[in-house]
Formats: sequence, structure tokens, C-alpha cells
Amino acid sequence: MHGRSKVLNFSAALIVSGMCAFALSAAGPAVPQATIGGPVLKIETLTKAQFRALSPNQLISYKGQVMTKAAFMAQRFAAWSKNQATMQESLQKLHAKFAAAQADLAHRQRADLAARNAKVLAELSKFQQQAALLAQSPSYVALSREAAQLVARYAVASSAEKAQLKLRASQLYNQLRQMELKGESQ
Amino acid sequence: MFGPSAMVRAMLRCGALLATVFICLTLFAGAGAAATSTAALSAIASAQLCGIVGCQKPPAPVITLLNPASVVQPGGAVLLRGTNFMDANGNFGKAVLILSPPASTGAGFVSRNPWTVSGVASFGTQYPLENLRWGDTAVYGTIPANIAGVTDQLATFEILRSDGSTSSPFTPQGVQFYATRTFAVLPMSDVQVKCSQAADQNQCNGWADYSPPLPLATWYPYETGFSVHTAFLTKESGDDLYGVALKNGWIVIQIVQIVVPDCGNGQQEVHPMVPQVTWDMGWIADPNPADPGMEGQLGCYVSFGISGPFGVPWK
Repeated sequence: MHGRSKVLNFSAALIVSGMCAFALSAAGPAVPQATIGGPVLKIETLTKAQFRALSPNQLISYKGQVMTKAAFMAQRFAAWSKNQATMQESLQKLHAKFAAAQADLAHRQRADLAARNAKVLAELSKFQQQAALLAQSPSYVALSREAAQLVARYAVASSAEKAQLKLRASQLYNQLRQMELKGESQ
Repeated sequence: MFGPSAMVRAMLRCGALLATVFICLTLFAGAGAAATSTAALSAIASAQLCGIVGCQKPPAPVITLLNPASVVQPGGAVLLRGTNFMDANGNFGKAVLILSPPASTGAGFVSRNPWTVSGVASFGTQYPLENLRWGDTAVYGTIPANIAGVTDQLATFEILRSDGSTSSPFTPQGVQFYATRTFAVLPMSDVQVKCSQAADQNQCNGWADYSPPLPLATWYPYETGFSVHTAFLTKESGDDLYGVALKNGWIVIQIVQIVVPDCGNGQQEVHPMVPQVTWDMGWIADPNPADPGMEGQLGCYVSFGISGPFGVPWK
């Protein structure tokens, strides 16, 4: 935020300095006295088209002052440029407003996402509770324990024993599988 | 991350040492809480017997329901229900969200992952769900939070089981996906301007009927419209129109005009919330104003705050 203010200040300074530079360029290079001449035109009597058609060196009078058209325009720009310096505060406020809007959008999105995700987690919790009920049921625990023991015995069993164990394993598998499917479908 | 055999071995250890599947569940659930690893969502003690009984490959997984509470947007949690999500050994797979690229970037867009949906070759991008909890009839996961460059659209989910079997897309018609929104100030380069030429000298953004124009367009990045009108002779007034028609789901959410005397149409801030807007910046330039310092020339500023899908162009 502080950094942004610096940028803003810098931008405003650029604007003002740019205005001044523009005002100077509008005045144009120093005009040799010999080229300035002709009748002094009262600015109030000119049409827009006539004013635009005047050369930069044309003498005009404005509120009693006589100057070239270029000098007059430079004076106008300079006055406005000075006024623009006061825009800095407004520009800073604008920048702050948009920064706040950006932060607000991000905050609202995060909050909304968290609230809605919480509802999904609640649904997940229900499912997990059902699974836990099955996992804790005495019959499932007993069958699971027997299955684990059977696997351990099978690893070191003889061929004859393996055939017996395989038969029992098949029964255990079917029983456990049915309980698991039933448990998840609830 | 649990590989297929590691999963079975872990289950065996649990079976032998702790003798309760419930404790296994607790351990697996705890292991995958924060990362993208997969955790068991259901009791799968039967799987440890597959090495002995030779479990057959189950039919292809089928997604039957997306829990209505699911949040189909980046970072959102989803809960899919169905059948045969696990292979015969109780191993997990992947659940993916499939999105299409923005329509406006279709020309020249190269898909990261060509994908086949319902047997028809199409080009979408797969986003594997994270933080998975996996059961044979349910999968919970979160959509990656960093998805960018996609618009709101109809998306599909698929289950890619560890044995290579894949579900059909859910739903065939697609489910509504909402992209993450971001905020920006519309730059001067992206606004259409109709500049009044009623004053003696007139400038709107980079255009002017005098030369050289004030070069503010490149200096100040927070402005959408900048009008300068100079009246040397008599009081003049006009209206500058700043318009935009945003694309790809972007809308103008805020228009702010800096308060300057004789600028604007009386409104300083509005919230249009639409993609297409034309802002009328009325102005009065008076060479002989009551307010000293404003003689004959004024500059008016307006900014458009816009919001749209993250990483997607607005034009």
C-alpha cells in the first residue's frame, strides 16, 4: 500500500511535470521580435475556426493583456497544470478504492468457498461415520482379524494347508465384501 | 502416496497388529489430510484376501451422483458417489475434472491433454482432484485452486481406476463449473472512445485534435478514460462517450469518476454489473468561470473496475 502511494505520487509528479513541459512546448521556441506583428486581435471577437487558423505568432489581446497566440495557450495550459496538482489526492483515493474492491472480491470469494466447502465436508463426515460404524461392528472386526491371521498363515502354509485356507479365504472375502458394500450403500 | 502393493501391505499390518479396520481407517485418513495423497474412505478389509482368492477385475466404475452440496469451482470440495471406484485389490485411482479452453482462445490453442469423452475425441484439460478420500462407492476431493485461463462452463468428472478402467463422463451433459474471479482496472487501450470536439482543443485518452496530445495515457495506469477540453474563447460543453463490450464472462462492476467541477453527468460511482457499458462523461469548459483556476480548460477522469475469470482475456 505504501509502495503504491509512492507510485501514485510519482505518477502525479509526472503528470504535473508533463503539463509544464507541454505548456512550454505550446509556447514554442522563442519567437524573433521581427516575426511578431500584424494587428492585435481581440480574442473575444474570434470564432473557433478563426482562432484555430491563427498562426502561433499572431498577437492577441485577452483581458487587456497582449501576447502571442502561443503564449496565450501556454498560459492556459500552465494554469490548468497547476490545478491538476491538486488531483493527486483524488487519484490516491481512487487507487485506494480499487485496491479495496480487489481485496473485497478476494475476501468474499474465500469466505464463500470456505462456507460451501464446509457443507461438503459435513456430507463427507456422514459417509465416514457410516464407514466407521461398519469398521467398529464386532462381526466385521472379527472377520477382519481372521482374514489377517489367515493371510499370515497362508504365507508359510504347505500346499495342502493352502488349499484349505484358500477355501476359507474365499468365504471370508465374500462375507467381508458384502458387509462393505452394504455399509457404503447406507 | 500409497501404491497398490503398499496399500495391501499396510492393511495387513493393521490387520495383524491392531486387529481393527477402524484404526486403519483413522491412520489412512490422517495421512492424507493436507497433501494430494489418497486416503481410504471406507472399510476395505476384504482386499487383503485378494492375493489368495484371486479377486476378479470389477466392472468399470460408474459415477451416479455428484453430491448437491459440491462446489464445482477452483478450490471447491466435491463428493462423487457411484460403484466400483476401487479395483479388485482395494487400490485407489484418480478422479479428474475435465474442462474446455475458453472459446475465444480456440484458434491456436493447444490442449495440454487430449481426452476422449464418450468415445468421441475431444480436447479438454484434466484436473486431478486433490486431497482425495476414496471408497468403493464414494470419492471426496478438492478441485485444484490454481486453475486459471478457463471460463465458466459445463464440466465433467471421471474416475480413472488404478487398474486402467475408466468411468463415463459425469454428467454426459456436464455440470456447471464457475471460474475464480479476479479484478482489474480496464486500461485506456481497451476502451472505445467517442470524443466531443465542441471545445477549441479536445483530447480523449491518446486521441486529440491538436498536437502533440498530452501523454497521460502512458503515465497513469489506473484510468480508463481521460478527457481534456480547452475553451479559449467562449464557454463550451460536450459529452465524451467511453464504451466497452467485455467478453468471456467479464463484467464492469464499478465505474468511478473523480470529482472535478464541470466534469461528469452527476454520477460519481455506479455498479453496472454488465459486460457492455457506455459512460457519458459530460463536461463544461468555461474561459471565465466563477471558480478561479479552472479557466477554460479541464481534465476529467473515469475508471472502470472490471471482474472476470482469472487468466482469461476480456477482449
